Amino acid sequence: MLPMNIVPENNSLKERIQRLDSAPGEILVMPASISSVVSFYASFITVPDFERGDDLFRDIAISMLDKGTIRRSKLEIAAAIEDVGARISFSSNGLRASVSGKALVKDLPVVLELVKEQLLEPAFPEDEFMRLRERYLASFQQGLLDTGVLSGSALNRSIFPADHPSYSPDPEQEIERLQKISVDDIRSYYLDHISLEDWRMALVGDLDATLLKDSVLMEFPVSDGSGIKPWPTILPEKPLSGQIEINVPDRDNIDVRMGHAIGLRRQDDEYIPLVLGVFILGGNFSARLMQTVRDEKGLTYGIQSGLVGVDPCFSGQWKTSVTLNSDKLQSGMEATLYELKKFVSEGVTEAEIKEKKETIAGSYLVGLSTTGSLARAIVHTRERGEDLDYLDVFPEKVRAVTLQEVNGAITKHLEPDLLHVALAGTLPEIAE
Amino acid sequence: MYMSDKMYPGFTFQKTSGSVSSYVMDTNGLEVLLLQQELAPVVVFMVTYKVGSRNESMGETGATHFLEHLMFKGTDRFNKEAGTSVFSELQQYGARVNATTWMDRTNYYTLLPSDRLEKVIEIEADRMRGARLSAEDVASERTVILNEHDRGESEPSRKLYQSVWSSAFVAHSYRHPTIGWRSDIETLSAESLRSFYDTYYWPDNATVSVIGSFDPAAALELVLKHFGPISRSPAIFPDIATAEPDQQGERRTTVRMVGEPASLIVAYRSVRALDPMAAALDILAVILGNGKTSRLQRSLVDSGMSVGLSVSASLHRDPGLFYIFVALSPGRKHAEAEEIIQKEIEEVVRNGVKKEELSRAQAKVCAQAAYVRDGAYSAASALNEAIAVGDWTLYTTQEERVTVVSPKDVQTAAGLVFQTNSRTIGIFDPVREEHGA
Repeated sequence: MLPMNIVPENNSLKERIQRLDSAPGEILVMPASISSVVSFYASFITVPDFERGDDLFRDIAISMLDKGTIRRSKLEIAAAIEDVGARISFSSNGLRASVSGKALVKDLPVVLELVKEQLLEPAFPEDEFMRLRERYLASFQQGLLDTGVLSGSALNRSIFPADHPSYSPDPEQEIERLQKISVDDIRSYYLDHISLEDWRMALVGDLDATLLKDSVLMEFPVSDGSGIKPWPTILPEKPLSGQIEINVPDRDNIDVRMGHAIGLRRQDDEYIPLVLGVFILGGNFSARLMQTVRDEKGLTYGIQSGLVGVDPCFSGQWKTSVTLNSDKLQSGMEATLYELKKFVSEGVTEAEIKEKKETIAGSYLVGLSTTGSLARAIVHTRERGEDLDYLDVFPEKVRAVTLQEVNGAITKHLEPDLLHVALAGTLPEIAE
Repeated sequence: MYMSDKMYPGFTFQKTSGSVSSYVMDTNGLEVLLLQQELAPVVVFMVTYKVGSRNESMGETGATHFLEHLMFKGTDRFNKEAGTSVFSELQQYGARVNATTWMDRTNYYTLLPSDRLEKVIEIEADRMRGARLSAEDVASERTVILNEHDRGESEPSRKLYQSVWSSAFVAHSYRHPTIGWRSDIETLSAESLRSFYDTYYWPDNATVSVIGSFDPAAALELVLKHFGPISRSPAIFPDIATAEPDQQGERRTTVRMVGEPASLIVAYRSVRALDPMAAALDILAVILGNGKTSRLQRSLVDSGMSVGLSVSASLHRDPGLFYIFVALSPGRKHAEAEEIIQKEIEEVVRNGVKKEELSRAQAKVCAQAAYVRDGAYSAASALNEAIAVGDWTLYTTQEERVTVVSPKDVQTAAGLVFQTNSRTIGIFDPVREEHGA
């Protein structure tokens, strides 16, 4: 263990991060002033064929990783983790899968062995698969009555083509597909399509890289793979017909989603100016939408606006979400649209930019105040191909943005007339 | 080097437990807790008021939560019209600002860069006695809260949970939803909210916590500077006289509405958080339902009966409910799950728990205690709940309280709590209707 006073008093995150030499993939270690605890986060590429709906196979396969290995049952694995109070979880989203966790430093070797075993030797037992499929089914069925899920996924279907990572399949069709999937499908998919491609892990806590030089991390079979082929950029276009209305009984609260595609990727110069601009509109409690639609008019409990799903490899959307009681539906939607149109036509002010630059810079610092959030930020930075100094210079990049850049990006990328609108709940016309 | 028992002008040192030191402001009785963490240059400043829905009577349910909202409408100094709203003043520095209301307490917390600590201290001190609570603000915030209420009403599991508490308690205010009954939210007046505020929002009914990277002497000086001029409450805080009478028979409640999945709560009247048996009940909840190796996970989830499970000792200032929540797999019946739960409960009452199970549960709780140190916010959340139930040292002594629990303690606690006569069973029975675009 590293005594706290050995951790260098250094504000640069990059300079505190050590690389584990000659480890497969990229292993990054950051000592931090916390006693006994370490968090880790790792990711690897798993690009599914979205048009064929392979992301469902991928997601189930990753969810099966904690259901037992060829050497140990699910319960034996779970007991080994729980006996030391550790946590390991697997997940998948977009183009990648990840494994994250937390442990006492003394237990880290055991925990990393378990991570390796689960990733490389999954057993995919049929009984566990059947139970997991039931849970997926229950979750999908629950989603059929969840107004937030229904409106959000309808919006995604309206905006994106089926081969796009942000597309959401029709939930009823997804249930039908799910019922036909077998454990053999999942096993085959994992073996044929998933390897530790672009494997990268960050560990943050009461340790340094020398503690890991003989660890199991040196033995992970990392694959070179072929990388990710970028998707064509999706541009905003008019919805095919009016707003999408989904009636759900017993839901006096109606969830409304408004959005359109934006032809922008994460690395584009206009990304940070547009993030800053949309934050002024709907990024937090003191943003325009909360101040007007909630605070002044009292029309909603929650309203926000932001850029969603913007990735280095694919473009995303500008999305506004508002929750409204049925008797406030019309006035709430009108007030929201009024603010969106005003925002795009008039732009933002120098004073707003000045304030929100500090908000985003400060929020970034606050967001990096746990070992887990630091580990994720380190990996995400490297996933995007950025140098680690991005972790340090991001606030300065935000502060360097000008008013002209923000208003220019707003005018270029946001078009309220092209918003697609989806709402779900007990809709007033039908309720009457 | 900071000495936790060092005397600071204006404060009387109370005690140090674990990494937390407590002080009381001499002039007004404000309790101050200091917990240093050096992980990042950020700090949480939190004010916990010892008032929650527990303190509400019929007709004024939801008042605590309503007040929590109104506290963000500001004061004469910090308000939107002046361009100095609470949110804009703090969020300009990237702060995470929010508040929560629960049965025993209300807390206002801000996580922000350490060099901005004074701003949040200034705001919290100002709104402790200076909240405007205008009729206009009450009117506009009422619709916001009604929307929040109706969002909750759309969630079957939340309705079921509330229905169980309202059935298990007939006299004690734990039977009210913290957000309040809709008709009370619709009719609460600015005057009644002012009266509630004037009763409970005083320094001697609050605890201030400073958690993260900060200099203790400087932090106490700032707290004294801004909270020092506030006087003590002129009146004694009303106590809650109503004690829930013994339950003399099982109760059942059913919620029927559109939603999924079908679910079940089995709840037992329990003990208060400061009861000596509380640590054993925490361990019992872990053994029954926390993690893949837990008993109910194996008998309910691994058997395919359930797709979701949670078990909580749910310890509060007054005796609450030990409850088991089960989300049923499609096509499964409530009675089947209830029978399995009953068997598991009888088993633990009759034969106790294995030493191996106990050790695993203790390891989980102790590791969790270490993880809570990872970040000022998680530490603040845990400390807040300990303050709420009446003894903040529950936060610092959790490991030692849990590691002394024996298998016999767990079995005894199970026997005392799992009484059929003090059981309440709640069922969510979905109404299935066609819907669509």
